[in-house]
Amino acid sequence: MLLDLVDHKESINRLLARYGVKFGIYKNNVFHEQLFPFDPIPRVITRKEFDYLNRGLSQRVRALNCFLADVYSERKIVKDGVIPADFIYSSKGYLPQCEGITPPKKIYSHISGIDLVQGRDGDWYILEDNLRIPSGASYPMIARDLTRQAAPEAFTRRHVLDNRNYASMLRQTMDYVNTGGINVVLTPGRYNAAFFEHSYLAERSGAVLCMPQDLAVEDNKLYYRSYEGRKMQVGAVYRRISDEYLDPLCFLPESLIGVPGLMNVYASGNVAVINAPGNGVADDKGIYYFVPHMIRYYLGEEAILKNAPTYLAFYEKDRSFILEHLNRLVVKDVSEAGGYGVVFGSNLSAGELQKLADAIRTEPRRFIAQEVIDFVDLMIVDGNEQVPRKADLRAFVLAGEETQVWPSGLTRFSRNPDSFVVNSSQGGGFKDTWVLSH
Amino acid sequence: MKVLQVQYEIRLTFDAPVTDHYFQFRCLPTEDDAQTVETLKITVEPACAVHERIDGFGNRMFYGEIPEPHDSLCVRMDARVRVERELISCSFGKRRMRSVRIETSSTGIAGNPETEPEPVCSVTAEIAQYSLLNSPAGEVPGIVYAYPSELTRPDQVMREWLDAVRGGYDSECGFPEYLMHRLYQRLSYVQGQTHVGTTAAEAFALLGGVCQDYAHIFTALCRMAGFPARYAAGMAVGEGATHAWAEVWQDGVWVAYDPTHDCMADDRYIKLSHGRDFIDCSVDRGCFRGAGGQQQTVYVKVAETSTLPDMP
Amino acid sequence: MGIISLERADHLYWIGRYTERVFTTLVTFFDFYDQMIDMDLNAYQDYCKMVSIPDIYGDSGTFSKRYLFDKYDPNSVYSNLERAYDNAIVIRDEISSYTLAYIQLALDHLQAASGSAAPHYDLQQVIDDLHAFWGCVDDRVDDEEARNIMKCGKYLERLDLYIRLGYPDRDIERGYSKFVNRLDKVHLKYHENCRRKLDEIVGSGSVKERKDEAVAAVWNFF
Repeated sequence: MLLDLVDHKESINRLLARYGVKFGIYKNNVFHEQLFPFDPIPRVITRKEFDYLNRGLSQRVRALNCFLADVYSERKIVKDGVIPADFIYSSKGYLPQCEGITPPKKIYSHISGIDLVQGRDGDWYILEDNLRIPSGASYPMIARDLTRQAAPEAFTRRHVLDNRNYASMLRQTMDYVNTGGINVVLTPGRYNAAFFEHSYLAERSGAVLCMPQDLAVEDNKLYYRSYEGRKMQVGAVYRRISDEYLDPLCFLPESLIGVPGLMNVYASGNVAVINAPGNGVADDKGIYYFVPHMIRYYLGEEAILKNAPTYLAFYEKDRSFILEHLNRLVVKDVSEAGGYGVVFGSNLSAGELQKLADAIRTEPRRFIAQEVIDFVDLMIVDGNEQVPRKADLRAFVLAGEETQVWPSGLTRFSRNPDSFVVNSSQGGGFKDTWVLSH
Repeated sequence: MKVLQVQYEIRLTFDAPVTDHYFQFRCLPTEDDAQTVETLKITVEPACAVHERIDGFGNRMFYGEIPEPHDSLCVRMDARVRVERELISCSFGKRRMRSVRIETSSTGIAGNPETEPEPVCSVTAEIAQYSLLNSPAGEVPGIVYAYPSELTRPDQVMREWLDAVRGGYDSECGFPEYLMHRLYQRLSYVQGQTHVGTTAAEAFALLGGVCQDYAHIFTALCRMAGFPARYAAGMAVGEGATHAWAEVWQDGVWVAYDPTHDCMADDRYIKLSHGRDFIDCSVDRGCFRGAGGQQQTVYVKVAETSTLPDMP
Repeated sequence: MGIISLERADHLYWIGRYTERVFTTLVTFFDFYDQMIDMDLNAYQDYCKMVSIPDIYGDSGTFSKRYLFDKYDPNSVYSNLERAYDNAIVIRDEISSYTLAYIQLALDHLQAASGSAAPHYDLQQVIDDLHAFWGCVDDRVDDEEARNIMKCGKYLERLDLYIRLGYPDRDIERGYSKFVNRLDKVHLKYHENCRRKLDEIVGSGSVKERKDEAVAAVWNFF
């Protein structure tokens, strides 16, 4: 049915190359830019299914925003014993420097990237929340644009919701929290892995792409400075620099890519920072377990979308379960990020299993274990044939006046038939995600 | 209760003029149940606009910028502060209780203990050993201070030593106090072998350091023993340098210990800030554009203006 | 948005310079290449002298290859085009993805030409891309000041190469007047004495006689 797209794979990829749709990667400390391999067969989501995902994902992000506001102020959820203090205050993502700061409109996670997979049973499972600086929206956005150019006939008979509205959604999100002034996208620079995205989102949303040296704090306000000595106040910073490098006066003093004094301006309510610093406390692998509890606690609702079945070694009952079933579970070290610190019990030797069990017994707080989800394969074009590969979906949830899900998303797939790893840095590719209008 | 006249001056001098200088200072006396600031005057040279805010740890700080070329920056703070630390304050105001009675007979001050008379402190108190696990966690205002931080992450050697100390604990006094005495026996005050970035574990392995190291080690050990503890930066009566000590969350209040002098930090101590460790309390943080070196000189003076008899 | 940061002004200016360097170099290279086919095998040595680059090539065959395509020769056309790209990619939002794509295409075409036995025809493609690039700048870069800064870079580079390569006075005069026309519309700081000197030299038609002075004035202009 999607043959017209398959036939145009080459021309679409040529267009992607023309527009520099790349991601950066460091190999032996040398920066390389690589094209992000694109597969023309989209993931297709029906309207009904999308409505369900929309409800579930926005519910989740609303609860996570409540949680962040609570953690950095009254800590009710800890006092009420819903989440043990350990999981919050010993997390690397918790930044006490952010205590007492209320971000504009009380929004912490403006742009959330929630990773989920669809199991063979048809159910969707949340794999992880990314509430710091999730990237990826630009790829399906430009891919759609170029696919429509290369294969217009593929769209004439289908009713696919246009996903190129991401730019205006992003703009509305920035405008909503803007404290007065221009919107900027703050990038650490061209040698960042996601630089393409920074520049493309700035172009499309009408924000100014800037490097830290373009910005300066003056009299407790943030300004964009012109080359001839004029200045313009900045009301919202969509920063793509991680927390610790954001402001050398507040976080790492040796940071050369930050804007000195930015946190003071932010704490004084004179600029919005998107996403809020300190969000890492809510997308920690240990906190993941508690998200359904948060939804119940803050919203008084049951979670619409399921977590993958997860066990927390911190709780004795879970711990004994984990130790008993270690060989069939996937164990994650909560202090590690990205794809690191993730082990599949089934891949371990008896000796390695023993070692892992000892580590869990010694430092239970550090580990969670999950059932391995058998998620569905999607077809990709490989030479002249189509083959099934593992794929996940990163959905983007934008929180402004309302919290809503972008009707698309980044579908990443593994190019290796035996692998579950879909990360672009590991050679994975991406697909567009179509949401049908009916 | 004491009323202290406090003077703090920090001067940064640059070899060549600098521009775009952003600065941030934490050198104002904290305000809580233990300290009441009666008068306060700040001078910044060269003159510029400053803004003030409370940081995430509850410390007052002020900041500003000097874009024009300048070859020095001087900040001077004069304050009169009423200190009632002996009442053992609870910054969070829920309970005010006298859980420790401190008898001091000493004029010992901050600085090098070898050149000062040895402080004689005897603490007689019943401090119930506090354990995090026995209490709903959210009840602890100092929960942030229950966990290791960058400079207070303990190592195996410290863990083993703490276990040994626990073994010898006879519960004559509160455990943190006992720990402080044992630590004092183990460490020596040595200047020059540690620096501002030395961790508690490193200083512990070196068997000593300066007040910052004592405070880090003590803080780390208390946290390991289940007592939330925080690093305190400030000054004490006398003329000289700044000082560092620690505060331990016990029985609903923050109790101030000075492990460098093996005594309680009493009304002769002025606190400027507290945090997880030295990094959160650094007096000045700044950055500027310019080549060449910079020198920093600090002048500190704390004097008693009146002493009232101890409250019953 | 009508406000251009120092950093951004710098990038705009250097995109202008590097794209023009590639463009004029390629056009001129065709002339030298033509000579080297059968008339003067060592014409490239004069060329290196004129544009003040070290002669690391040894013979005309190596020159034709390395000067055009060598990624590791900092003076090669490829390296200069890469620098244009480096400056352009960081201001995508200002110049637009459409405009940026032409530099990407020029790079791709230059790379493709390196494998060709007679690269002449393939290089024409690069020149076409650069024409399209400037057409796109006029069409897609909304901010007039940004466009003018790019053109300041472009015309100063052109002036520099024209003077060095001994272009006729008429071309130099035209190039110079295009440059000052843009210069007066922007707020870039420059050295007034350099401008006076160039006014004098170009105005009196004595560029050939006072070539070194003219080159120095261009070099020190900003």
